[in-house]
Amino acid sequence: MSPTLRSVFEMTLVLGTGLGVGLIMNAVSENGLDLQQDYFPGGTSRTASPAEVPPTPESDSSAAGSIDPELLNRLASKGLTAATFEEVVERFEDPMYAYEAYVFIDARDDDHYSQGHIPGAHQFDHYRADRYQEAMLQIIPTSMEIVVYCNGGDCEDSESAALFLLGLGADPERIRVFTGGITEWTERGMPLEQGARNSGVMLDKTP
Amino acid sequence: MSASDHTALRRLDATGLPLLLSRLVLGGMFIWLGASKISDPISFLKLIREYGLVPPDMSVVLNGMAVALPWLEIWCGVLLLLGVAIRGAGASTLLLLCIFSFAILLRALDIYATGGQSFCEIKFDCGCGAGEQFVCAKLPENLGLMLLSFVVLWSKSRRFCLASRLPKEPS
Repeated sequence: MSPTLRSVFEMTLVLGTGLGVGLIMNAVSENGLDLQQDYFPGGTSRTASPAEVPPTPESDSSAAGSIDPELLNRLASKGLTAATFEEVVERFEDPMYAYEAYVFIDARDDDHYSQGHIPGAHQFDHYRADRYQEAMLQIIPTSMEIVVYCNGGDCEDSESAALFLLGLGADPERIRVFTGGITEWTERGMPLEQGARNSGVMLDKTP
Repeated sequence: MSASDHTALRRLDATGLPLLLSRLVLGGMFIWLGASKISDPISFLKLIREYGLVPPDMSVVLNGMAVALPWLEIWCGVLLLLGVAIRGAGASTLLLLCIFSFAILLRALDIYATGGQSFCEIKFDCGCGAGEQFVCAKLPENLGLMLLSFVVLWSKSRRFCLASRLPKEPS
């Protein structure tokens, strides 16, 4: 066998074995991914050109003043509606928030959630949807409105989580995506809760 | 390259040191970069999705890449460090580096086309395992690793390789 042919043969073996090891390790790992799962429902990434998404619907005009129009278009293309910081605060301060008429969903992972989330927000890491699905199925029919958020900025997890909730039967008109996310929430001096939901442990913001 | 240069290179190769050095650096890098991605496949999945190379309706391919690539990198690294099937491992690292570099270059050019910054100011997390890096630093780094892969493929020496100590098949 010529050296070149041997190299190609060995390379095929190495690649095949390596990929096989990866798939086996994924299957036995607790952190493994479900290969069949579409973790980015809606398809459109933030790098999509504006020409690929439909124009912003009239219903978004209230939020259009303070949210990037491109982001609004992207949400609209997925059938989602944005919520501004002011709208989110209004719901947070509403007495009905305590009764879960308004429900906040934190779409980030365990570490970020426990480091600090909007007080009373439920966690729904859609990459681990099976862990939270039961709780979400209880929330969806009883809440007046669901506000989903993640880090804000480039973060798309809130959109993906919102689409998962729609897939679980949520009414699209009752789901809002807080595009500013935890970043805007924190920057505007709003309170953060640490640890588990309703732990009562508030983040100490003193320097 | 003259015949005497070639002979000198072969003499140097016969010491086994160029191959050993290449194996250690390349293998070590691949193990380190692969290991840094394994603990958080979701983050890696998000990063490789940013390249937009896999169509949205092919999530199996994207998910498969996210879980298998880090292990493939570690596998190549281990083979190189041990000195087993180094020709195949070297060819694999070369192929992977070519694909990764091409993808990074395409994405950087895409960002560059949007304007606002010079090419060498472009910085993003390429999913390589080392966080955010400047494109003008990452691409030469990959070129260096490709060169080491070439050395592994070119070398005829098998000194310091475990494979050379294994019993040969009876002919």
